[in-house]
Amino acid sequence: MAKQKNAPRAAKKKPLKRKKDTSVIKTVRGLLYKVIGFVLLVGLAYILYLDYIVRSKFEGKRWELPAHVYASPVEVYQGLALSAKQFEKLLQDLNYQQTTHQRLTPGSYRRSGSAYSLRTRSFNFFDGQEAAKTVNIFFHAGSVQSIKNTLTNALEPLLRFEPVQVGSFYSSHKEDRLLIKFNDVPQTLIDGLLAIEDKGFHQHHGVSIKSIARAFWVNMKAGSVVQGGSTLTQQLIKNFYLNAERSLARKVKEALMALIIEFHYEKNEILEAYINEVFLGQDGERSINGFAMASVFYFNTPLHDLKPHQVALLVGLVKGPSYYDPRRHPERARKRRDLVLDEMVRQGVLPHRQRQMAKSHALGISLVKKISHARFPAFLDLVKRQLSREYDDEDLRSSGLNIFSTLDYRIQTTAEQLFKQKLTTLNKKYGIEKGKLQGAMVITRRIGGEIVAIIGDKNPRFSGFNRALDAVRPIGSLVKPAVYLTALSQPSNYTLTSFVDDTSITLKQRSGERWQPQNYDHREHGPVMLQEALVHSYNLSTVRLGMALKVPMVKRTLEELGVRREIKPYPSLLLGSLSLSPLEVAQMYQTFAGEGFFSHLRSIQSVSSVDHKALQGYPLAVQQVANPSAVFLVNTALQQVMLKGTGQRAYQHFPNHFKVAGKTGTTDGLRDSWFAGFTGDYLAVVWLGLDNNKPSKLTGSSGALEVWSSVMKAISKEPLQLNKPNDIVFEWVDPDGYRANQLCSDAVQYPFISGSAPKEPSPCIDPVTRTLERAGSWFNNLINDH
Amino acid sequence: MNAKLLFPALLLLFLSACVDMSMYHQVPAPVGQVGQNVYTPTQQSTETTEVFALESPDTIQPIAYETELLSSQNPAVIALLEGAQNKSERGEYDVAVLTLERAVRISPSDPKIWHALANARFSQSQYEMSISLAKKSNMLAKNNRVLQRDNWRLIAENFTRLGQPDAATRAIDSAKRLF
Repeated sequence: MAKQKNAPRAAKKKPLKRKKDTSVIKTVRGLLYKVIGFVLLVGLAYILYLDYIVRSKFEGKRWELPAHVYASPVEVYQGLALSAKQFEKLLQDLNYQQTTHQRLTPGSYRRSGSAYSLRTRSFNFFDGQEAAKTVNIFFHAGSVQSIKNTLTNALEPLLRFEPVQVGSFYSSHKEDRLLIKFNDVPQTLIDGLLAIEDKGFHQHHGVSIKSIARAFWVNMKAGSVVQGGSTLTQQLIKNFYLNAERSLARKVKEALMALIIEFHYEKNEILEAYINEVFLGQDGERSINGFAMASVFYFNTPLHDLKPHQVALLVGLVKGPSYYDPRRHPERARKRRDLVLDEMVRQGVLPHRQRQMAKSHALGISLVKKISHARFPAFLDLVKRQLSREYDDEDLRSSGLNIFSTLDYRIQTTAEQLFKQKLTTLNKKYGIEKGKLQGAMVITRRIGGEIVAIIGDKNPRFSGFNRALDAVRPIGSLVKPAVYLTALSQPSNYTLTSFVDDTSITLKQRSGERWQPQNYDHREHGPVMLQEALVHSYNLSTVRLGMALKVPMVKRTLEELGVRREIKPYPSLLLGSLSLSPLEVAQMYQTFAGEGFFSHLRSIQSVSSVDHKALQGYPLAVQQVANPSAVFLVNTALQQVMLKGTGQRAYQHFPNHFKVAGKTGTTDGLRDSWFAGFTGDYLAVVWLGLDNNKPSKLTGSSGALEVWSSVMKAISKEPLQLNKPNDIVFEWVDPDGYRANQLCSDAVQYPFISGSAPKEPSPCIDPVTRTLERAGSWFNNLINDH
Repeated sequence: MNAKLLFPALLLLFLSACVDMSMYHQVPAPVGQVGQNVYTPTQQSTETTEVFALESPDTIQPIAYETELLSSQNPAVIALLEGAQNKSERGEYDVAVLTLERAVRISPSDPKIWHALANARFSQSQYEMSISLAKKSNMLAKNNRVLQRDNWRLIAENFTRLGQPDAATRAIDSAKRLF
């Protein structure tokens, strides 16, 4: 029994040890499983997280695309007043290349005397696509004689050129790119890209062990990093999702994401993303991203028009856009390009023959486009303000909007040049402290109110305080036409020949203070006709007239004309103690120029989305706000201002028969020099003064009018032809205000609203004629009686 | 009425014999006399002349042909008007309006373009704007009674839609007064 007892005890010990061993192993194993499981779980979670990032960015709004602002497109038609010289300047502004080749590519032209052969570039406008056309244009005597489509052999009624890009709104990253769809990418580019950067693109699944191994081997041999083993997919991940950080952890993340993206998306989609993403150059602040943008940046040509040697250069840039910059390192760029061409031939994606031809080409790099992203800061400022009412800032800067503005490139550049010149001249001539004379100018189309040019600084390119929009200054005599319009809107009380007393007047204000306005020449002129008072800008008669009309009535007229700022209805308003910006003044005078029709001044014609879908049109709108007949009377007086009054100086620039209308404005102590005036085609407002509000020594006539005349002479082609409303009649009036006829000496013809002309005959009409006239008008009345 | 007419008529006849009243000398156009042919470039200049019947007394001026512009309408403008018409027919009024604006920039004083704009706005139910545009067209359509009448009729339609029947009636009257 004892022996039996011992045996089991001895037997027990072994299993106990084994049990202990197993349980340790089991625990360790269990722990190991748990750890592995935990790691796998974390890994899975991480992969899911990466998966989420990859997909959401790939499918969401991928890139921040800047908004592009275009000038108003130039439309050429038979009869347009445009000289051959101006036309050639336009082609140069649009970066057309002059050539002698027979075959014309889009954006090139041939010239033979005053005949041009050109092929335009197509463009997507708001109202549809303007197809590329090959045309012959003939010029004669400063205008377009004919436009012939060489393909159809028919006359082309209208040719709309693509608009000049005048600015962009970038997001904070300042990436510039043009989106391109995979189907629009030229095959040469794809072939070249894969040949150089990722031969096995179509075979691998995101990461290529072969490439990594090969790169490893090559780098080992070379002793440094000479080859990258990254696939295009990995490069995309790096640029699109990550940054250039180089660490093993980053490499692993990159590899995982590359596998994920390949899992979800087609090769073509990935390639398309790469082609749009890749960094290919730097231009000052903005970076050039994507091949489509690079094509324009380096060659001024759309991607689909590139030749093999150009494509090869771009492909070569991928490895190092700064190192191989063709503008800074042309030799390196050329060698790299030729290497790319060789490799393409070697891999059979480029015919051998084409290689020689390609290599024989020079680099062909165009000059950097001179138009920076903010060439016209004052105008762009207004565009942004008008847009920000409807688009929030982020959308504006990153949705790739196409903004078609009303800017006229030719007018803006001409105006800028002349404005600068004139200010320098005036600065010197009047001994104003050097460089202190400042100014602003706004130019609009007389009909419709489109703003064609804005200048906000004596140095128009300067992007600082925009005086055209923000310099709010007293308008002085510019207010007077509103006073006279108020009067002339009451034809039974006032006509152009009604008399007002230009005699001294003292007004006592509620505060007890006295106001005693003075004429500019400190004289009283006695009784003067309304027209004369306006033409010579007399203060005393204007105040008397305004007080008789009651100041709130004048205030109402101003509001109807389009002044939206708060107006204080004090008597001093009558002499212009109302502060407005040049743009606001332009808005007010636009209604005169529009002959009683108000048009809101606008800087934008339309907005399209990045894929050229029409988003918003800002169309022409007119609204009759004043009696056109009364406005006609004021406008004829404003023409007299220019012929006989304070605006005479204009005719030192214009020929005598060229009719213009306008008003000078000068404020106290010559602090502000204003002029607002219009011709048949344009309205312009000029302000000159000093920022510190000190006297500028310039009157409206000696300062602003000089600038106005100089610019308008250069840009305006049509004299003013007012439309006479049906109820306006012209009558002869003698200097004392009596009805006369053309036989009377000193009699002048004035326009009158029918029924308001003076009835009392002048002594210069003899009795017989007077009787006959009476009989005649009686007869006429009978005939017209129903 | 007749008695009133007699005395001044006699007086005039008497005086016209003695004094040259060039300002008030009116020779009524007798029936059958050749009138003035106004050419438009679309017409061929022929030697045939038109005969004007004497109208009722309240329209003393000769009838003007549709010569809103004595110079031919710019082919560019014609092309744009056609384009705008096509777009309007397809209901793309926004686009039609912008096309018409291009035409305005080329020929700002052509009343036909403004009339087309007024029509487009009417189709978009923008009645106030349509009225303003039609008025603008009328201001420019001095010699074109047909166009003026069309403008007034359009203005009347707009007023009707705006629920202003009195204004509409007045506009219809203006149209009637033209012919």
